[in-house]
Amino acid sequence: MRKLYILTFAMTFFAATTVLGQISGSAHDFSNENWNSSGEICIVCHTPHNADVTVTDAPLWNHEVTTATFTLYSSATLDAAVGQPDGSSKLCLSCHDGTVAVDNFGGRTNGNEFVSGDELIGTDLSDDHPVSFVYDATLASTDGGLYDPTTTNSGLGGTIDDDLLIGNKVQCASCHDVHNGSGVADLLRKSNAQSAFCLTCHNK
Amino acid sequence: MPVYLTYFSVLVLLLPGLNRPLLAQNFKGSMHDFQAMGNKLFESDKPCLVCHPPHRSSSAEETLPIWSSKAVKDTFTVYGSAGPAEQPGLPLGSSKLCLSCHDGTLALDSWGGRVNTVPFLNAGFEDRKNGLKNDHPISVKYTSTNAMRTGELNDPFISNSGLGNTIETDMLTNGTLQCSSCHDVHNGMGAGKLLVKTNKNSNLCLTCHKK
Ligand code: HEC
Ligand code: HEC
Ligand code: HEC
Ligand code: HEC
Ligand code: HEC
Ligand code: HEC
Ligand code: HEC
Ligand code: HEC
Repeated sequence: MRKLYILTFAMTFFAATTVLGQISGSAHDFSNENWNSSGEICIVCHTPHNADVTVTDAPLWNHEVTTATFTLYSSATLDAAVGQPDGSSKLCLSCHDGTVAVDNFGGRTNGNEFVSGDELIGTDLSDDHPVSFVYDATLASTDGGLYDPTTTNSGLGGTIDDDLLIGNKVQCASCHDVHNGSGVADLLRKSNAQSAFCLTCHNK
Repeated sequence: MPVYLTYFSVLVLLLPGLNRPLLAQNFKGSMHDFQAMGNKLFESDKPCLVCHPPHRSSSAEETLPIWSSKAVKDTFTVYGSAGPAEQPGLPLGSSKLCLSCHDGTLALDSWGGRVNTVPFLNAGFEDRKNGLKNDHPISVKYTSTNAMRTGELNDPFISNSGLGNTIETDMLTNGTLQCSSCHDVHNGMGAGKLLVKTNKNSNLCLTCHKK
């Protein structure tokens, strides 16, 4: 009997630690907005049918995609080859660059809800952490101040490459979980207390 | 109404499947009640016949209800993001039956042995004409291992579907996701868009996806 209690406790605890956060109630839950009459959460970004396939590997995308050209981050010490935002970063910027309305989904193009304030990243990315570039062992050794992503633990279960990179690249989704899976503020993948998140990759 | 009831009583005995309620009042007037849609081209006063002929089947589809539509083509471009842990296969089983009308290339009135040329689906319904690349993956394995590996899906053998039993029992066909995982061709639930449950708050999506 005692064992059963312990087992039940252990299982409850396990369940509680695996489901840390959820999209419902997060900044990306638009189900109660007056511009979303469906009352659904996923539909603003995904559709089961007739998805937009213009962005490579976009998951069943249902939101208008940005066509902006971005000013990229550059610096004297940057070693990575940073390109125009691609992959899922382009999807984030389809709301966060402020050129496409948040309510432009499901074919709608005349929406008028735009991101504003802190949430507005804009089309000038020169003041933002670089995204859409390959981060591999070669970059780590060239730079000298980065961990090797293929062998360094991310703290989330696997290596940096497994858990934080998408097709070997740093993207917005390397640091953020759009679905609030970890339940950390700012939709971060892990807490940045004492800059622990930055120090996952940067060897400072 | 008597027509419906006759067919119900006969067919319920004959056909295997996902064990969903078949409520005449929900089927009636749904988009698959072609008679109610006033679609004369079906030339049928028997609402079930278009899809279930009593004596003849045009295909030897595995484990499926007898079927009268013209056999569907075999090649589709399937959903191909790098994402899914399990790559979708070509449509199988009942999904092929759906696509025999919904691929948008076969005439709807090709049934009961006839091969006709009209009509096609109406605009707004013919998205699958260009293949399944932009549709939710189907014919994709959805197993406990698959769910564990991605960590993003509920375990189909444990999680409740909200329809009475587990996801595996109520929504999957031979452990795979098909059109009928999300849709009930007979509109048994009356949930709109022939869905197996309403998608209010994305509850249908969240049945399987941990988000
Ligand atoms: C604000 C936009 C947004 C909303 C709302 C949203 N998603 Fe996503 N989703 C994305 C983006 C962007 C990606 C690709 C980036 C990534 O995988 O992190 C993605 C990826 C996915 C993927 C593939 C990768 C993975 O994480 O498994 C699935 C499945 C998914 N979403 C399901 C859902 C479901 C189900 C809902 C509703 C409960 C939902 N999403 C709501 C933006 C959104
Ligand atoms: C459909 C439009 C849309 C897409 C696509 C989208 N976002 Fe957002 N996001 C928003 C809006 C709107 C807000 C602000 C919500 C509010 O006012 O609280 C927001 C808020 C945020 C926040 C702040 C969260 C908080 O708790 O304050 C972060 C971080 C964020 N988004 C990151 C992303 C990333 C990363 C992606 C892509 C993986 C993405 N977003 C895709 C619309 C979007
Ligand atoms: C290297 C990690 C990293 C990358 C890459 C990254 N972010 Fe962030 N982001 C953060 C952190 C950390 C915060 C919290 C900042 C704070 O608390 O001031 C944040 C905050 C935000 C916010 C909330 C508003 C704010 O400024 O506090 C938004 C919106 C956002 N990011 C969007 C994006 C988008 C869109 C991209 C891709 C173009 C992106 N982020 C790429 C780490 C990152
Ligand atoms: C997923 C790994 C990862 C995380 C997490 C991360 N970075 Fe980076 N960061 C990189 C990579 C890779 C580069 C490219 C370095 C280069 O090419 O010189 C970079 C570049 C930078 C640069 C520009 C360096 C230069 O030479 O111009 C700064 C500054 C920076 N990161 C700060 C941060 C901060 C602050 C955080 C935490 C909020 C953070 N990073 C989190 C991987 C990461
Ligand atoms: C649009 C085509 C279509 C029409 C019209 C249709 N059916 Fe079906 N029926 C199907 C398909 C497809 C299946 C296989 C179910 C599955 O796997 O989703 C099926 C399965 C069945 C089954 C097996 C049990 C089950 O739900 O899997 C019964 C019984 C049945 N149909 C009875 C009827 C009756 C009675 C009518 C007329 C009221 C009817 N059907 C009209 C397509 C149709
Ligand atoms: C019956 C279970 C089930 C339901 C209901 C369901 N999905 Fe899925 N979904 C899956 C499975 C299984 C996959 C394949 C995932 C894999 O193998 O990685 C998938 C894949 C996806 C993908 C592609 C992921 C990628 O990596 O590219 C997206 C996006 C998605 N689903 C969104 C949705 C949305 C939005 C809904 C609601 C309209 C929904 N799903 C309903 C089971 C389901
Ligand atoms: C005999 C041809 C036929 C078959 C077989 C068939 N359908 Fe349909 N379906 C139609 C027609 C016709 C419409 C109405 C669309 C139109 O007006 O063009 C329709 C409409 C629908 C709709 C839209 C419902 C709404 O209320 O908006 C869904 C969903 C659907 N079908 C799913 C399926 C699924 C899933 C299957 C297989 C299990 C299937 N269909 C099999 C002919 C068929
Ligand atoms: C993961 C769940 C899911 C799967 C699998 C799925 N559907 Fe759907 N389908 C939906 C939802 C949800 C809607 C309603 C969309 C809306 O209201 O925007 C829908 C709408 C439809 C419609 C009406 C709108 C349109 O796009 O034409 C048809 C027809 C349809 N589905 C047929 C199919 C067929 C055929 C298959 C198999 C090839 C299939 N569906 C597989 C969830 C699904």
